[in-house]
Amino acid sequence: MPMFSKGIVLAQHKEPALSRPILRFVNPMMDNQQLDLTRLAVQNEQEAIIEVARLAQIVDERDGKPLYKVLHKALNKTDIVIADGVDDEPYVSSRLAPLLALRTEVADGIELCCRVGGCKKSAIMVYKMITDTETRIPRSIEKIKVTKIRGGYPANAGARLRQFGPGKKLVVGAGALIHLARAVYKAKKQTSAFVTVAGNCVTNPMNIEVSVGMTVMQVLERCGLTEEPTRIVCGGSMTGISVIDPDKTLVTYTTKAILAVRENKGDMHYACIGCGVCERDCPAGLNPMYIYRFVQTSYFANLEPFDAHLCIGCGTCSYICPSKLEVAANVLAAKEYALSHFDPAGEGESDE
Amino acid sequence: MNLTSQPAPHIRVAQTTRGVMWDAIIALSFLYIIATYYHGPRAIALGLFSVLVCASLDGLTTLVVGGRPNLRDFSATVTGLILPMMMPVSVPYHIVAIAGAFAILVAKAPFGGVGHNVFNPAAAGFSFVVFTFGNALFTYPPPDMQFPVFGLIPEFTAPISPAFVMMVGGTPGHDVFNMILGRFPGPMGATNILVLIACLLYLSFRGTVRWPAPLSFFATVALIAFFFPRGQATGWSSVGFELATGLLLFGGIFLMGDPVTTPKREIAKIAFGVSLGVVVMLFRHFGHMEEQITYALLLLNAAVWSFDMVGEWLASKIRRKRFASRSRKDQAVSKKA
Repeated sequence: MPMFSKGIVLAQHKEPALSRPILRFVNPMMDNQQLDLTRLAVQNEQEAIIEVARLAQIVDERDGKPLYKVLHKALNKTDIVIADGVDDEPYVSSRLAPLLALRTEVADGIELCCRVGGCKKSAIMVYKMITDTETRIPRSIEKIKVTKIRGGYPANAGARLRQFGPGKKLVVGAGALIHLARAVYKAKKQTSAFVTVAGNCVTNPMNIEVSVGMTVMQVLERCGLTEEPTRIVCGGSMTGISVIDPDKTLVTYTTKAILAVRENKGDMHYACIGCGVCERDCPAGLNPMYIYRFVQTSYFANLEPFDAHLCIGCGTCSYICPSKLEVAANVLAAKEYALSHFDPAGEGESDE
Repeated sequence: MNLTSQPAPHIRVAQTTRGVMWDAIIALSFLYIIATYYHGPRAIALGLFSVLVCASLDGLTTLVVGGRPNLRDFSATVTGLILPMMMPVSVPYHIVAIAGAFAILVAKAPFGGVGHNVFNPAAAGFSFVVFTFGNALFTYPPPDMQFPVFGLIPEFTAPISPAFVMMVGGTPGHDVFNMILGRFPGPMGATNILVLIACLLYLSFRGTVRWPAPLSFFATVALIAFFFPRGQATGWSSVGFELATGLLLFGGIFLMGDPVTTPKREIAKIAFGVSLGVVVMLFRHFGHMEEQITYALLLLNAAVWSFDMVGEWLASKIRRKRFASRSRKDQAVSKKA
């Protein structure tokens, strides 16, 4: 009997978006922007790559950090370069699909990162628990070994890197690698992001390369809507933000998916019966049920022993709740309160 | 386009609270089928009557406090189905009605309705009628006797139930095979050992009942029974009789399987099961009651919050150690902001 859950298994629903070719839906004015690489003030090749990444304004789509900062930190200090193609959220395949479709560019990007980091080893990681794909995920892409990450949702970031052995790891998203290869070999700025468009209202679910700054509605209209959605989500299905005004919401570098969903909300008037599945499946070992109750009844002072500040915001508690309560939103509210009001015991700077 | 802003996640699991309740209803319906086979249609009529009383009172109390009764909420139905199963088939209808009314009006509604009750409604209702109508509740008919739905209950000479024999310090002379098949006098739902075991398997495979709680309870009872047998029974026969007699199996599955009135964390559930086993066996050794589990359960229901807090304290020790670096990072971010 494990003390803490290792995640839940979700039906992935990545088809048909994953096996369809990646469409380009770009603003030509932005797409034709060329970098001026004639006068780079650099000493060596490694600095040149970092400088190009800076000029091309490449952003790692996993966390929104500028790639040149990540590369600068890893300069000559890396043992292995890992391309991140892990899409653990259902419907989302915006890292895996470019990884499979644009293989040469990904391989070029990995090779460039290896040069910066001063290492020879590289790997690609993808999510293993995708069972409904039509395209088989190969053993190796351009002679780079593909490692499959096991485990449910959320795929634990710390645990999944451990299997690559000791040493410093440089983890870069698949999209950022493609844009790095394009910047270095074709002198192109990053002006687009890879986005999955899916959901039960979308006529043609697909992965699409969109110019950053287009509105969500433009992207949805490109893929077609069969019926009026009741919910449009920007981001993943588990952690994304629900959009009220799709005409004024823009696609950013970190938008992984746009989902248009029509749902039946008839069945959702239950009280919490305290079944405890949220506590069973919480990957941070919290007890979301009690946190939910205390937030609902405004007993914030009672929250201290429940460690709401450890919440990782994965949304598992809301997903698994049989009463369909908004548990995760309440736990996040409690986390905000805990971070500003409590000083959790035993977490001084002593063991830094 | 009429869009609403909703918090993440945007997909939900297919299981619903109604499904959880349906699982309990399905499991209980197997017990009703067997009881109807042994005792005639009166068993099922008692169940339907009890459900009618509980569900209508539950809806009424919701109306009284100004809420809207939820037709999809089957928690009162489950309470109603559990109550007659703990009684003999010869029980008059008014006792069932009083038990159901006490369960809903005293044990459930004043605490805030479904999900908020501190004490198990079915256990409370049964305990109430035990000390008001004890005689009618502990006069068990012979196992194969048929009863009419309405009208006078035919006269019968009540055989002595093994639970009573154990209470007065004797050893039941019942055949083990007959006991497994449910051919011994007792409450109409609690004697069918095979069906009860099948119910437990069904509920734990469906995830409605989490197995550590009932298992730790049964294991504790078995352990104490093995080392401290009552009467002349020795060792394994004592284990068998203690587990099979009375409401022990039924209560361990259906009363303890109630998610509202049991602890949430797995480790707290196990501690709860062990303490329930100890309290039940203490009642059996030093008490003078034929049925003990409902009283033991009500006693421990009051302490569920303490069980949960101890479990939470243990879990917080572990998770703070394991996830400390993550929380430091978060705190640094929030301080900057």
